[in-house]
Amino acid sequence: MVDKSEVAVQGSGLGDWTLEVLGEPGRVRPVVTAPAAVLSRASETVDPLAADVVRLAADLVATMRVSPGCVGLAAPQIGVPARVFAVDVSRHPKTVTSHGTFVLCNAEVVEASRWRLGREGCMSVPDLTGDVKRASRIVVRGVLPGTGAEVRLVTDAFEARALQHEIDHCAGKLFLDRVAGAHAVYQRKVYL
Amino acid sequence: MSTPRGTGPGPHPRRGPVPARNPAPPACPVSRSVGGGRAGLSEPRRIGQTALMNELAITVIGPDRPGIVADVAEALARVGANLTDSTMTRLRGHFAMTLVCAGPTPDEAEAALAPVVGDGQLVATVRPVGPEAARTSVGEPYLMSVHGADRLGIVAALTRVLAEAGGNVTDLTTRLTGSLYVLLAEVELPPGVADRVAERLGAVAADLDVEVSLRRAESDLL
Repeated sequence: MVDKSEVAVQGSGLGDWTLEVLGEPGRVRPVVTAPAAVLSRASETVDPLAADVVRLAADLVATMRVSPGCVGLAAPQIGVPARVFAVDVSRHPKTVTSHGTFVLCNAEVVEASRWRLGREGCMSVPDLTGDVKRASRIVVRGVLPGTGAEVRLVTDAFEARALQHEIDHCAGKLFLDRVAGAHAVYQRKVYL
Repeated sequence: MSTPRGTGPGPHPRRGPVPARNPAPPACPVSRSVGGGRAGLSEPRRIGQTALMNELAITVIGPDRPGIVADVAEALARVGANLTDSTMTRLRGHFAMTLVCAGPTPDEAEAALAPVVGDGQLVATVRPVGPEAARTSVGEPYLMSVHGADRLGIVAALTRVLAEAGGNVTDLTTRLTGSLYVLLAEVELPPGVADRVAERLGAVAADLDVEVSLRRAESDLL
């Protein structure tokens, strides 16, 4: 459960980066579902200034936006083994801190604390959900596509969960790799 | 548990371990129902297209020991059985397996399990089942938690409340430890009835002198 009493962490961390940097609307791409090799192997580090990486970032945002309920999408989920993902939790009721819509390249979690259990689903595992322990307060380091700016994001609650889920995708891990027990996977019952 | 079938000199299932097993024991505590669901049993097999395969419901239960799952799974794999959905857990020292598998005929599955249950410790049943029904869930997922002093009728009374509201239990576990009884149930409730169900559960639980909570089993798509 999200503890709404937590004080939102300070600072945007994204500087003046906006989606405009990507320069194009992006294409909606088909979402890959498990089992698929691309979802289970570690993706490659990318050059955040490369034109194909910027296009990929735009495609991730476009695909995320047309997918109901989707708050994050990683490149392996559209079949590209690259360490890039998009996140936008700004409209989710469990969000405390939000950095809006953004894309990160080569991101990693550098600090994690306040671990909480939560039930999560994934567009790439459409029929199951699982109870997964995630840190509810994290520091993530990554690079913004298009500008190459290195950022350090401090966040919490639902955005922290989403970032860990997407960073896991880039490492070839699904929530199924982290479920809390043999009885912690469920048939997904509500379709958005 | 059923009466052993066949006429051979196999070990009696109730007489404990025997030093040597008949390699093809016709007498084994494997049973199956024979009613319905047998159409198309000789259709071709292909993993991932279970609709074309025999579907079997298999249960195995017996005193817990290391290796039960491996023994049963290996035996079924040898006859091409694809374990699909299963749940396996320890219940008061007994290891209980309930699984649906696809591939072999009931006779093939029985024959495969015969050596595993031949020592009489494990009891297995094999039954053909029809293809999976289309999912019709339109409910909202809730988790019901109950705890209190053990007494007769807790499960019956509380699940009746759920059923009367149109709720469908999809997963349920009970544990008795000392005098503490714990019941956890995943239930799909029709939209809009949760508050009324929670109120009714509270009343029934009060009569039983147990604590109950009903909360939304929400999941977040990431």
